[in-house]
Amino acid sequence: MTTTDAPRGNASPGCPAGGAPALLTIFEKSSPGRHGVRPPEAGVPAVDPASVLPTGAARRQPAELPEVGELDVQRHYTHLSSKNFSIANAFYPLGSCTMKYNPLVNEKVMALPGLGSLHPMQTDDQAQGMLELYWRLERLLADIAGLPAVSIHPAAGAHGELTALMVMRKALDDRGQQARKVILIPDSAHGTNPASCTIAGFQTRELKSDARGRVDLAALDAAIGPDVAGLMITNPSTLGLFEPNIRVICDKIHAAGGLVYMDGANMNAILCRTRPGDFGVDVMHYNLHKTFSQPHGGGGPGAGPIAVSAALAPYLPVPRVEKVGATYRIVRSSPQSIGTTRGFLGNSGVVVRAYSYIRSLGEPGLRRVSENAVLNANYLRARLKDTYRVWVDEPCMHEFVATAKGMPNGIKATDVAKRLIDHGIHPPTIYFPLIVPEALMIEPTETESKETLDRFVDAMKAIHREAESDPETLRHAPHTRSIGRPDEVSAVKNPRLTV
Amino acid sequence: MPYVQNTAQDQAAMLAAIGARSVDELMSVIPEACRWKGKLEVGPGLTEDALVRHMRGFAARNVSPDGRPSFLGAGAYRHFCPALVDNLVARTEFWTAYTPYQPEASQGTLTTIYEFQSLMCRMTGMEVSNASVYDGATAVVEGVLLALRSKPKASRVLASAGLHPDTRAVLATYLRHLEVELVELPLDGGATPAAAVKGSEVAALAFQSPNFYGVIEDTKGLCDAAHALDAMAVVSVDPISLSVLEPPGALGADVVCGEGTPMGNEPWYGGPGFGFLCARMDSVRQMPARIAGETTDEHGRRAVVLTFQTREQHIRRAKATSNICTSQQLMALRATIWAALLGKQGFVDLGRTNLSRAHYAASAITALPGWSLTYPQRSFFKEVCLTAPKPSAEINRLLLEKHGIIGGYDLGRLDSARSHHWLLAVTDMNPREEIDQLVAALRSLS
Repeated sequence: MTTTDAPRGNASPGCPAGGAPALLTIFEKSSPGRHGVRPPEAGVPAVDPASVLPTGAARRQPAELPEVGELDVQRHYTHLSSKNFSIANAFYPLGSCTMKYNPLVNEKVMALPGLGSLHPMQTDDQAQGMLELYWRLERLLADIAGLPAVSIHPAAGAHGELTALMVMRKALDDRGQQARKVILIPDSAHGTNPASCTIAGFQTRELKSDARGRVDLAALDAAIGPDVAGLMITNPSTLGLFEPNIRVICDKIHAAGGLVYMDGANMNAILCRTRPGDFGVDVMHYNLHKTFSQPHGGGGPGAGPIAVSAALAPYLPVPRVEKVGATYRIVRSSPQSIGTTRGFLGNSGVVVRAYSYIRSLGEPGLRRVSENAVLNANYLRARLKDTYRVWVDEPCMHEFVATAKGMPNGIKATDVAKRLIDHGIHPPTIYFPLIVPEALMIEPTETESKETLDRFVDAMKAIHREAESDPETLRHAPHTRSIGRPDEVSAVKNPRLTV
Repeated sequence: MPYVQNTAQDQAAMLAAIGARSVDELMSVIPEACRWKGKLEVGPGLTEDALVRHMRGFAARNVSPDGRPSFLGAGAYRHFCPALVDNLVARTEFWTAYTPYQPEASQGTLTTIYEFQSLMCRMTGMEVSNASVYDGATAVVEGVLLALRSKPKASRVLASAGLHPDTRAVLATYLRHLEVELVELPLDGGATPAAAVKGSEVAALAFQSPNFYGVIEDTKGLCDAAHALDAMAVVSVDPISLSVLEPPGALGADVVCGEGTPMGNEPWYGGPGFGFLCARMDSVRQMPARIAGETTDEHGRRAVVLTFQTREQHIRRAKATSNICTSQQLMALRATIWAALLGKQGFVDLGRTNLSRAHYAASAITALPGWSLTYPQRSFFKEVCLTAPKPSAEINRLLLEKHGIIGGYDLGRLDSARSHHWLLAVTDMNPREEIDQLVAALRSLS
């Protein structure tokens, strides 16, 4: 791959790039009577469903599952996988998603007999190793957050947000503050923040950012009132900026009787450098799949542990792991707890990998994570800022937001993103945060080498030149994939959601 | 240092390009008063070898179900999973990608989501499925929330006491925050009585079949009873049971959901698994989470994209149908490949193996003195509630200590009045020899 001259493929309309075969689903590869792997045979007298089930309860027509041989199943999914970009075959600077290297040793430990196969309904005495691991990870996450209590119950970042908001609600109710129903949210926040507030029964009030992308203190003062339950703030922000007034902001919220929630999506930038609990945060969530290097799986699994102050600890969800002497047990009810927000204890597979990752790095390794995440992002910012306007041109943390606004010939962020695909690079996050027009949100992570970053810079500059010289190629990019730009409007107008 | 590639020379060159003297200078955007000068208690890092040895220590302190008979279910089940599933999901292109925001670079994941939705609709008899939710408990909650959005004037939800206890607990937590009244319907002889489905302003009736006690509910009767109240029927199912049971979609269900882990996933001590959620097409705009749909590209080629995104949090924010962003895609992919490998007949055969073995085990155990079916008038699929001659806790202790067998679920853990009730799960992972071994062991305990 050369980065200054991206492949064109066959760009002529109507002619697929590289003559890629048409997409067929596994259902369309089905042939009656064919089968893949045979399931275990009963080995006991066969029971006729109709003889043991109530009238009308037995299935009349078998479900139309595919009928495909094992080899063709292997080829089908191997082929489909080749249509994906992934960290192992492409730079993946997807802003806010922290697409870092996923160490394989964590898969090995997850698969150890006794960890991977443990059943969630086994009694506590049979799961001492797993419960100890939960307890230890809680301690590590509490230490990193500077907050004393942690629950690893929530299933994902947004689920952590929701669980934490429920904790805030219960704590306020116990203080007789039922009337506080408003959560303040900066306009740069992730969409999950306001969506989580709604499900937790809160209303939201948006805070305008100032010209430097920070919380506008005057706007904050104007928004604070007796109805305010708290603030949800992402720090570092989605612009990759550390909030310089964070202590003042926390003080103002506390003085008004509210609580401060921190969205910890960007913890990668501040590991071992600053601790949310120390700068005034009452409650936060982690995204284990971001900061602690879980495979993102095409959209999960993740895990969204929450860390809270001592005052909020009694409200954490159950089940929780407790250490009594030298043994561990699950606490299933607690008088002030908000209750349960998912099935079973937690996403244990993710918990094991995160613990393994933290132990492999240790304190020096975690320090190097934030150091190199910040260095790599600032290097890209410095090298790109003369070509792409950086929205807030100041030293950033783990990511920065550039804009495609004002590019030659009206080229848009989406055109830049699609053309990057032809360069073999996964695009940055685009059109987010919403406060930046034509946003390109770039997060390289600490695990990328300088050479990879340089190739990205070359590709971005080549695309900018191309915007001047050959805008049509950009407007119809990508040219090297199995499909060109899909028609998303007709997908809604004529919905086809199943084969 | 593991996983970081920058050398000291690289760092120097990068700092020069930035115009900074040191990384600490870059970090000075963190105000002095906020900087942390301490040291984490985690200590130094471990080499890969030392790490694996350390992790083996945790594993050794668990009683692993590997290599020993286990009859524990109660919402988490072990089923046969072909070797090829592990091999294919381990492909880094599936494993390390993220949410398919760029369809041209994600046709692999998007096509598998489209296949997953098709699979779940064919199994449940429904018209639309999403790409997955967190788990079975939150799937029921999301189904109920869908009903509440569809029936904005309703303020009440009926929930069967036969739902998994975690599901009941999670539903209670969510609905408390939305100020919706949750009415629990007690069971009668192990099943939800349709006559108890009554009341006004009811948005949804939620129930599970087979229910937590293994009892197959009268799905049609309960759906009809819900519809008589103008409420939606939210039915949670074990997907494996759909091999032999009529799909709820054919019996009047408005939402069919459940825990998908039995399909190609392991219990993994409670997660990650995945939840599925299917509905009728007229509910599509009320669905939570990602949905994939088919379209064409600008050259007319077939393509798959994320669709109906105006429902979602990244666009609709506080008015979104759900806050879900990351869910459980890799686990749903496991289920999709698992189903493709079993195929139409294989799925039927698998179901019959479960049904036959569970009935074989129940017959043999209830022939032992003092044992009986707790709900003899009810039907079951792969899990059955038995009444034991002595406390279930004691039986389980003796089974493990003397015979190396993990027994059924002791219902006394939930309700001291049920200390002699034993929930026995028998699946395709328990061959006849294991069942015979269990029966012999129980005989020796009596």
